[in-house]
Amino acid sequence: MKTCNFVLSGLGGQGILFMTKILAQTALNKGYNILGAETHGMAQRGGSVVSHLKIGDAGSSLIRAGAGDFLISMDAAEAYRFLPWVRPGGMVFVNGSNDRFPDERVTPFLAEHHITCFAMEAGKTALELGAPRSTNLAMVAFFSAFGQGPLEAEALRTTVEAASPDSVKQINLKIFDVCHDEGRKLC
Amino acid sequence: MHKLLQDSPGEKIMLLGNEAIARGAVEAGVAFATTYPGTPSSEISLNLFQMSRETDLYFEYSTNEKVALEVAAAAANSGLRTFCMMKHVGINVAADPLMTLAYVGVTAGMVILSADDPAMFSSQNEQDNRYYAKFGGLPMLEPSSVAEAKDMIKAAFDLSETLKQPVLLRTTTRINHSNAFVTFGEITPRKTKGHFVRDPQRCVTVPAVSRGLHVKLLEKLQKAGQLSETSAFNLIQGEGPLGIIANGVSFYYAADAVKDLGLEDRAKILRMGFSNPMPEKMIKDFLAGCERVLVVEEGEPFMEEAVKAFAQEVGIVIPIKGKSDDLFSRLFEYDPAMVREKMAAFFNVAYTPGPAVDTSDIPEIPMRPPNLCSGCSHRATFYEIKQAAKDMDVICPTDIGCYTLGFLPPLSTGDFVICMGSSVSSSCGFSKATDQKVVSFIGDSTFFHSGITGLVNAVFNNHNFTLVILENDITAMTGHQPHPGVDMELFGLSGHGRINIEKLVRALGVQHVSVIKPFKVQKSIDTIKEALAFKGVSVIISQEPCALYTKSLKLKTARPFVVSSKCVDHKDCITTIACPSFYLDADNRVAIDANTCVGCAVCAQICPENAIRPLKK
Repeated sequence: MKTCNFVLSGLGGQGILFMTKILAQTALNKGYNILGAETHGMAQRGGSVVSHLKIGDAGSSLIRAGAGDFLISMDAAEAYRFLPWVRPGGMVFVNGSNDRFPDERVTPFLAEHHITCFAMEAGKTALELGAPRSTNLAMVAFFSAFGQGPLEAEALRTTVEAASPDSVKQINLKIFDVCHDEGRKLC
Repeated sequence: MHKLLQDSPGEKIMLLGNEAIARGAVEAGVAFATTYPGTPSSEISLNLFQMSRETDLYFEYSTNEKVALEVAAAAANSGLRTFCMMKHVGINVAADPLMTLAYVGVTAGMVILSADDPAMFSSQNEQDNRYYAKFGGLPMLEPSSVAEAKDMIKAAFDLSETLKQPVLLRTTTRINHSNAFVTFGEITPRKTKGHFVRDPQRCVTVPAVSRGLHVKLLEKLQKAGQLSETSAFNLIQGEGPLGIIANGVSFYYAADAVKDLGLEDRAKILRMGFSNPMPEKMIKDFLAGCERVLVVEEGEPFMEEAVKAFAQEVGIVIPIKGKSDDLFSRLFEYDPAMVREKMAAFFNVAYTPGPAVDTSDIPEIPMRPPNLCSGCSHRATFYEIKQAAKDMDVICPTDIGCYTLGFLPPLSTGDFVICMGSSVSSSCGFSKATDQKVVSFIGDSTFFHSGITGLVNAVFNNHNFTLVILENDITAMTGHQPHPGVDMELFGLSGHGRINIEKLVRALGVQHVSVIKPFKVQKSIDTIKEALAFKGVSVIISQEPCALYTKSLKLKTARPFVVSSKCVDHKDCITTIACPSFYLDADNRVAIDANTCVGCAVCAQICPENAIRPLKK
């Protein structure tokens, strides 16, 4: 299998590492190899955070600029920051408003590189459903709706179910389903 | 049961590099572990701390790295397998015992882990600690992957016992903070009680003894060199006239590059995993079959200089290159694309890099640095100091911790930081060398780590400054580890002592000591003014638990605040304290995010219009 490269971005405290774990564990369940690289430390204090995840057989964990298949971002500004990591023809999924993302200042870049963008207010949805901290898995669910890459929606949902503590399991699954359905509408 | 304690050999599990290292230590039968936390090493000790609560593994958060190494040295000389881990600059603190422990050696396996941080993701410098191995005469191993890190630590304990010498295991952030699948091995049973056998001719380092010990150290190094020649960690991959020598993560970057450039039939890579002493004969043989050699290593030209010296000894005059203006830098970390580009240039291979990402038509995204959290008490203290000292010409030495972030605007409080504890000692220097007022900052954990000696110096030498000790009851920056001033009952642990900072400071003879509660703004400002007016050493202890930790323990119920209609929109709150809970709403007016506001009420106290009020439930 050709390596599938995920770039996950956002701000410290938003659970980028948990999002990475959901994707990586799902890959393991399906028998794929993974390699990931994270930022820790100071970055946890609200700074820009990025996580690289390679699914498939790779030696080195870092994804070079222009080689990411998917960019999933918890924050619009952090999506713009990591756009150069997306390969031509790659896809961007962002927690933000479809009316405001992508900004017209980057549309020429996106068009030139055939990069497609999908936005959903996952944070708002997670908040309305009572678990604002589950925005990270809401974004995984949104991504899963598009059927892209080696990880299917059902497999990702199973990982979310297994990884969620009992106290928030039902609400997390509800968020997953709602956000998955939101994504389906854009397909 | 802790996931790293599971006795399930063969199980495949995804682990962070640091978790893999902790598991490796458990598999090696480690019985005794000490540390002072520091990124990128912190999760190793965190996992050992957690596991120690379920088993008879002894683990302690020591006061600083020097203490941690000395505590560990005793255990390793009492027959226990001992693990001491720290970040790279921690080794500087521990360097004094390290250099002489190398003479004394150990009676049971001892591994000292140095977590280096190329590119300084979370550090004040990017020193290359491989030189400590050379400097002290210690054997050193360096893993290239997460899975290898787990296996290497086991090998490091065996090596240590063979040589009766502590072994340095050197990692970099890309190993510590990478995720990968790791296969669990067998867990060696721990031996948790040792016995110290007196051996003054080895353990009491008076000059007459040490002269003999240095001789023995060189003998051990020679034996280590022989082991390095046959170590499976020094391996050659591929064959051909183009030579590559690499270590750590650079090995995989180099291996990927060889493949990408189609050099599989022409290039061979020597991966150095046992890198002090280097396998001299193996390297010389490797060089003999090469037309040119590229050395790929982050940091300093540690291997490159040694390889060139070996080449000189056997009269090999091929080009051997690594660090140079047109090849690799001594700065920051490497990445796969960069290694491929430099390799192509050095071996003169036609290489068309993938279409370069031209970002010239994307507007520049402003940097988003880390910030003090919503409701962080440090923000309140910095604001109050600024208010109290607003008419003074002030120098603010600060220290290593979350509060270093106070140097960012708009708080802009922080003028000088070099290492842990330097806030206090540098204040001594500034107060003598200038006529400026000196107000310095240090966190509680850092004060215990290395601030106390500076304060003793200040009292003894009668210096003139105000030290603010930010007592937030936890080691916050590295992920909420305990320190000697912490109530260990909060961790569910009994039997620990607890040092009271105020009593300690008074006992040191500081004449002017005051305590503030930083969320009481005006009262704090008044107290600070008194302390600033005192001539001599004054200490202000600012007491308020870390907001993030309090939140995680659910110790307080947040009562968020809102901006009322009394707001006249001058945005003073944003421009003076810049709490991240503020945002501008659709009408460009200040609003407060109720999900992140913890209800510290500092903004409410500084708003001239009293426009910030608690949110009515």
